[in-house]
Amino acid sequence: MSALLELRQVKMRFGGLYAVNDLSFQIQPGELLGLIGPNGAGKTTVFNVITGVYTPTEGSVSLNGEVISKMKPYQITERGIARTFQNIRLFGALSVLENVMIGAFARHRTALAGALMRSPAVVLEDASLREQSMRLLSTFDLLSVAHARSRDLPYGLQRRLEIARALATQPKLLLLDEPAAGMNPQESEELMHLIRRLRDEMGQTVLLIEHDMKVVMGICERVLVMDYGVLIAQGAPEVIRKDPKVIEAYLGEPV
Amino acid sequence: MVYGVLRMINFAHGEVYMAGAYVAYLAVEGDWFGVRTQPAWWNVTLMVLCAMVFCMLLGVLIERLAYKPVRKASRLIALITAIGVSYLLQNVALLIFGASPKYAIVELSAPATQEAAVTGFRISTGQAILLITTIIFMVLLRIIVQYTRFGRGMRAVSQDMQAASLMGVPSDRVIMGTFALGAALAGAGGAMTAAFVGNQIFPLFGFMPGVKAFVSAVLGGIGNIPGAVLGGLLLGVIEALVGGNPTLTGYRDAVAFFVLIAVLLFRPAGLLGKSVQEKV
Amino acid sequence: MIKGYPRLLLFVLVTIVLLWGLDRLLFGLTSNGALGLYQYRVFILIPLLYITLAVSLNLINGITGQFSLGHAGFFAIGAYLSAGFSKFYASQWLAGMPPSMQGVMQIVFLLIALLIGGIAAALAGLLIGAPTLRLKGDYLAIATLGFGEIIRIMFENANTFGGPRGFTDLPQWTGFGFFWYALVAVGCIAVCRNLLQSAHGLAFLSVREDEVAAESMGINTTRYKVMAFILGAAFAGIAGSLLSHYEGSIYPNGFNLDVSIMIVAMVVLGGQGSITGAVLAGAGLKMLEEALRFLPEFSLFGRTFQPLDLRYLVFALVLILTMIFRQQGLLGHREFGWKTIGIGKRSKVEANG
Repeated sequence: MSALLELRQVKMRFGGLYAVNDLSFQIQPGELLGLIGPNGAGKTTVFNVITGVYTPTEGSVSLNGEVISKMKPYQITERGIARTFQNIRLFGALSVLENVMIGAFARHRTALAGALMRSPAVVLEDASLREQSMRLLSTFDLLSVAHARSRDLPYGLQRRLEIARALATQPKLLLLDEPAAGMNPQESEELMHLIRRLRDEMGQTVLLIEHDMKVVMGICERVLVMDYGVLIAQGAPEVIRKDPKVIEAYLGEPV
Repeated sequence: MVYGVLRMINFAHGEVYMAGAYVAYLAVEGDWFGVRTQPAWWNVTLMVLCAMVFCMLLGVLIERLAYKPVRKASRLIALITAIGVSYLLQNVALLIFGASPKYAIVELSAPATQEAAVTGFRISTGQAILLITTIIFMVLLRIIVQYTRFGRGMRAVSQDMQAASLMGVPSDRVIMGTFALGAALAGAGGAMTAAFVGNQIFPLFGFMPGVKAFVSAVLGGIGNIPGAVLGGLLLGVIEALVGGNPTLTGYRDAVAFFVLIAVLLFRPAGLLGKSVQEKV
Repeated sequence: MIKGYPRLLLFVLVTIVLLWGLDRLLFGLTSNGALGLYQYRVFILIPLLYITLAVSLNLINGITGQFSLGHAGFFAIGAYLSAGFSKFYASQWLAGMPPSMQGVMQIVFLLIALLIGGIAAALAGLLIGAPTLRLKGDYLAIATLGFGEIIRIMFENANTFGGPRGFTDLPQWTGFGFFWYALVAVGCIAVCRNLLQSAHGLAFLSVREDEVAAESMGINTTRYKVMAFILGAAFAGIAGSLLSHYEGSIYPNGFNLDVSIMIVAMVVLGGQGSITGAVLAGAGLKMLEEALRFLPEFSLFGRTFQPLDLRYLVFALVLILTMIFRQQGLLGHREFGWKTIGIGKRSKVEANG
């Protein structure tokens, strides 16, 4: 089976420091994969490299066999990778619906000139984008706040909205950066359930960063562990849990 | 300097400089301390001090009234406010003094020379005094920034305003102090330029120097002091070349902008600067 | 109900007829003396021009969030280049035509001149936009300020265009003026409104809100920024063409930094991103400025002042006070349209939602 995403010996250097060093891994279609590691292990940097925010110093990233590591973020999104951010980055002044519509807009086909004249094609497309977005909002239980300003939402809903917005771009691969951060145990459990459903019902491939190992262990079939920019272990959660290197990296924390 | 601390271009800095020049003009016109009738080193110094004090107050006023309320808002808002303040001061000066150029020079250049002769230096021009004073000010500034408590506070605030205030740095007072210091220096600069070099004083007195100072800083690399000096020299040379060429002389004022746009396009970090990647 | 292109065409035709009717009405009023020609000019015509300028700058500053201080530059390019075309070429061609055709051809040439002004300014927008948009905030503001000044200084030094003495004896093809000024203002508002109503408009807004997130949503932020500059510049250029074809003479100083700052003040006061706000503030500030002319003069600091001298002070205060007390401007992001006053079809909106 060919990999959906493949990282090959990726290195990312900032000044004299390697934030990511010689990282290689693959993601298969339909996988729900966890990326864990202590603070500062380089997890978010991996996301930034995959999504094109950073160009890797060395090595390559490819999606379905196409090298994407030199592309701009928007080109990578067009090719099917979407993400959320650790420190939520919604379009604050815009409504919940508009946020999701911007995601859906990634698949638009009409020209800008048409929009200026409000051509029939644009009107039709807008209606379909809106409908699509509303459907997504209902999946994420956000319909009741569709017209609220996204900045005014409570924190947990903002996180959910960010995932909905990323999904609206119809990604082949969804990257979630600490989606449960700052949530209470109940909220985070609901969220994990939702992520699981995305995979099981829609076949969505997901790569998930999480600081809290318990969360990841609960839903991922496979886990990657990073420390100091290096991949120190990968495998099923039960195996990872007993890996001495992982225990050392998380020294003192119950795993 | 203020930029370094607040990460914000102070558009109004040039206008404070202008205010310093107008103080010099008033002093000469009004013959304060006898600067016009009996110029001597001490009353000229007093005049510059007056300009510094006035500009310091002006700087603090601007900071308190206009900048402080918007400090926590977005950069764009701070920027618009700064442009507004700059524009306001220009037009206040226009109202008070009118558009016609004023001079503070004639009576002062000769005594400046005499004074120099008395103290034993062999200086023949006002520029030289200006240069020396500038160097003294620079050294003083360096000492303040590096070695005093206030300087440490300034450096801390420039790194991270919130963290600094959590660590007990009175960031509000430090910022105000920075403004006061920067404004006082700008005022001294304005007064001395008007008095010793004899530039015309008009409401836009500070505008082009402000732009040029900014262009020099960008050319050299923001936050890099040797870079800014190099940038300033380079800009001066280019301007002189263009101004000396008869077919191009009309474009003299556009040079700074051309240079700015060229630098921003081809080497945004400046000649000596390092590029910084935005953190996500 | 008519939909699609026929509806667009109908809208355009109705607008033209309405504006033409209004034009004739105003013309009638001014010819029988009910409305002074001067009052007409300063309270109707010039505010219309500034509505176009404010709405077009709002596209760049307010909607896309790219702070530009160089709008007067685009305005100048449109004014000068279109007038150059009309004075040096089109008037000659027109003179060589049979008198019966001249009336029609004058309108054709005016349209071409407006187009030239718009395209020239759009090209300048592309030229300045594409490379400088890598800059952010303060840098962009100074770079665009520099661009505006460069343009002004270039025209000041261009003898073909009269240099500092101004470009004069230009054909005054907009005639009475109202029709053309209003047509451009309505066109500019309609285009911006259409844009904001479509998902394309959301793409522009997302650039203002968060560039990194916008990129990660598949939006080519550079492209949208450049498009905003091109569109905004084009309308400023067309506004410039109107000015030169109405006034008959233009001067480099009419396009200085004061003009750019005034337009910025209009956008800021109206609420960055709000088209309605830009319209109201654009017309309002301009009328306020003109109204200052009618106040009595006063004395201060031993000098006599015309209240008009205070206008730039007023603009500066507008900028500062709006920022301190009401950062979202008068209208914030809200729009004020038919629906707000209850004429629209509310049910349709809800059916969609």
